[in-house]
Amino acid sequence: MIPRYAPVAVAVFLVMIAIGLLTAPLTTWNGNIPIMLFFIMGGVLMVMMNSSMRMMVRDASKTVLLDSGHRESSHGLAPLCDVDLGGEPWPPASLYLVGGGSAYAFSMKDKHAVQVRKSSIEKLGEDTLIVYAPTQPLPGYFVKSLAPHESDQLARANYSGFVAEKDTESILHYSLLDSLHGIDSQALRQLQAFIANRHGKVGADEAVRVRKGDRAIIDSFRVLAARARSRTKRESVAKFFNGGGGAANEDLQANADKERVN
Amino acid sequence: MGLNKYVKATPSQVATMMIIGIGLALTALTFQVGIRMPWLVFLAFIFGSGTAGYYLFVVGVKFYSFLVVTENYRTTTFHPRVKVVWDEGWKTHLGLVFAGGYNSPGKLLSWPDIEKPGGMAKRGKVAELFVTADPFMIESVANTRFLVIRGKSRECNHWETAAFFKRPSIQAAIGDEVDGIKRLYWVMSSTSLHPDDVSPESLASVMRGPSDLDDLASLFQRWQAEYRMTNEQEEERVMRGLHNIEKSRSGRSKAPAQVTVHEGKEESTDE
Repeated sequence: MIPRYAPVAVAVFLVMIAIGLLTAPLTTWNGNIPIMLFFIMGGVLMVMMNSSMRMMVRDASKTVLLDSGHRESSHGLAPLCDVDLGGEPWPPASLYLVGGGSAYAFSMKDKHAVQVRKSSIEKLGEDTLIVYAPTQPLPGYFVKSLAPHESDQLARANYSGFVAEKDTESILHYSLLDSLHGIDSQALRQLQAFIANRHGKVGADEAVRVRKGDRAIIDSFRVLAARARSRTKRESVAKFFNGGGGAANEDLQANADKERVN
Repeated sequence: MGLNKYVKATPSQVATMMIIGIGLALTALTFQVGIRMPWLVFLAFIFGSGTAGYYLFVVGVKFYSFLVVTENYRTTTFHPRVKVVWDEGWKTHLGLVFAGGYNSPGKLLSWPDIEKPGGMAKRGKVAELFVTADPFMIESVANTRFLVIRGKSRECNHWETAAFFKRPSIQAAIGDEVDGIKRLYWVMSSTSLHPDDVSPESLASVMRGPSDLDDLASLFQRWQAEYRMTNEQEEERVMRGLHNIEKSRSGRSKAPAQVTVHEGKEESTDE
């Protein structure tokens, strides 16, 4: 089958040949191009290509559309974890890895996750998954509290790029509701937000501390000690200029102590 | 200072590193080695790089744009726009969905599906039009951010497209816009329309209403309290150990006192 754009491609090729023949004499005009200019241009091009190629791969990968307005890409549309049983008070839920993709012989790990009710998911065609749930984009760290069992699976699967730690870019799209079957209202959304806000971070912190044991307490002492020893900005500036020593700094030290305490 | 927080170096070391860095940068920028090549090739290289960069960037722009999705095709749109047209010849309602442009405020670029007369996009002919056999095959998700067309789309050829646009109902509805439309897709039927596989009974068995989430909240509350209790016990154990260390270091905890008994009277040698 001849591609639709074949005539256009042939025409462009012929035009380029013609331009090349017409401008052949110009190619003898040589110039001395600084090699650093090439390096700088190459660097800029590589940075642009890096981010753009990622988007290109994500764009051509399988798509997950969330009712909260997010569009995510994914390696595949099979759930990482599928809980059929449900049971009071837990609804049957599915966990998907999203955010990466595979296309054009490139592949990227999924770094986000979607955990939603199983009944709120619908597959459209082969490449699209629609999630009819008002998902909340929460920090990935919250998964340790809201879905502790799944968090271990997320973090340990060797094809997962999800990082369930603080201050990472991983996002957990979380919902307990199902707009498709009418399990959705403003009161329920508020309650879902309450659960996420009330138990997300605090529960994750407590769970991490339990796992760390006495190490967590020693670490907290270290943080407190480092905080007590750290210089204030004024101290740092003074030390930069005069080494921080001398009797003139006594007032400064006293003020710094006040700042630390306050 | 912020610098000292992250860079473990003295100010003199930082100053030295800055001087060396600036020196290296100056050396690099004034490096006099060059490549001798035709200017035309150099200009072609710049033009090619810029074009490739632009098209790759537009792909990223399209990723965050409004979407139109069918069962086998996905495209972007400037703004979700759906029109329902009554076709007198076929005695049916047709659903028209416009697509082809893109709109991503965070990425600076946008391009309308069909611009008003005189606009650039009309000359560019980028627009796509989806025609559904039933307007109810069109569904909006996420407050019209995504338009879902439930069916397989099939692209019409040139003659089919021209014949469709000549229909009186289409001429009356979008006659002034058809010149800007590049591709026409028909969506006749769906292969995935099916009754929901979750019956109301089974739904009711797993979800009674808001009380379920209340139960869930109280379960989280209980677990959190138990975690905290475990942590407090652990903390108490460590603190007790630290307290013992502190006592032994300060010398208050010596060897057990030697107690001798003299004629029924206790005397301690510890004093």
